Amino acid sequence: MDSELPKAALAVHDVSDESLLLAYRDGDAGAFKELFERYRGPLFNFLLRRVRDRSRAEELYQDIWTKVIERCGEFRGESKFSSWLYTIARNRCIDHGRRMKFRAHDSLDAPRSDSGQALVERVANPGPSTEDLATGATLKERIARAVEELPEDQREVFLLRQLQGLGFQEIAEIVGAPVNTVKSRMRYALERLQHELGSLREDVQ
Amino acid sequence: MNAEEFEAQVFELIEREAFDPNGIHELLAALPECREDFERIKGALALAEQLPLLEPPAHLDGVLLALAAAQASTTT
Repeated sequence: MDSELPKAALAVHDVSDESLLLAYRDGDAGAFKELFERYRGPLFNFLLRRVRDRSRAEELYQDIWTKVIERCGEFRGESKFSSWLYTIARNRCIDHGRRMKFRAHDSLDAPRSDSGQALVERVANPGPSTEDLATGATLKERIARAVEELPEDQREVFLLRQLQGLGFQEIAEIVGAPVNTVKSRMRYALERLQHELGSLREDVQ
Repeated sequence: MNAEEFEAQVFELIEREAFDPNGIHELLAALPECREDFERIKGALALAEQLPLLEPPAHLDGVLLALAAAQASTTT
């Protein structure tokens, strides 16, 4: 893949992710900034909903971008940048999950700080009032909670699709599952969300 | 397209509806048994669109962009 950006012919937002990364590898800091802008929000939200803990998500966010900066020389442009980025992110989330399991085994006697209720933005009262149900904020909170309660394999597919808009084939490559399995996970995730939030559905439509 | 194929491609068909509504309506008219599934998934996707998005911390972004710039300057 050619890392030269045809600056005269293309606005920077028309340049592919892969060309931006290769341009950055060749010393163009502006190319990284554009790439970062494209992915910072979706990646952060992916991590937030995936690990369900804001401080861990921030830690992983920093760690993953640092890896991208340090390892961009390893990127040959043979795969999509998004696949590369989210494969790193997913692997880091899996490592994090293993560490958390280990810590949980290690501290069974310790008092629990997590009520298991809300995840990223915990609310004091999980039961919304009728008045609360009428507000968009509560609807959003309930959707966020329902997403975070999805089984892990469904949640990661859902997040990759919804937040970054990745195609099913690309998601299949990232999660290492057949494309039909990925589609089924997405369908189960949506059915589950719909079941959890069924009473709110008509408010959205 | 039969019902099984429709089911397998329901996500693609929902996306297609945005630019080819007539084509999708014709398909649904020919496969009425698929309409409920199509509408249910479409409704769930509309619900999913409401997932709140949070901003990454600005100070972290600053640190990362500074790191990236420093790394780039060692390359040139």
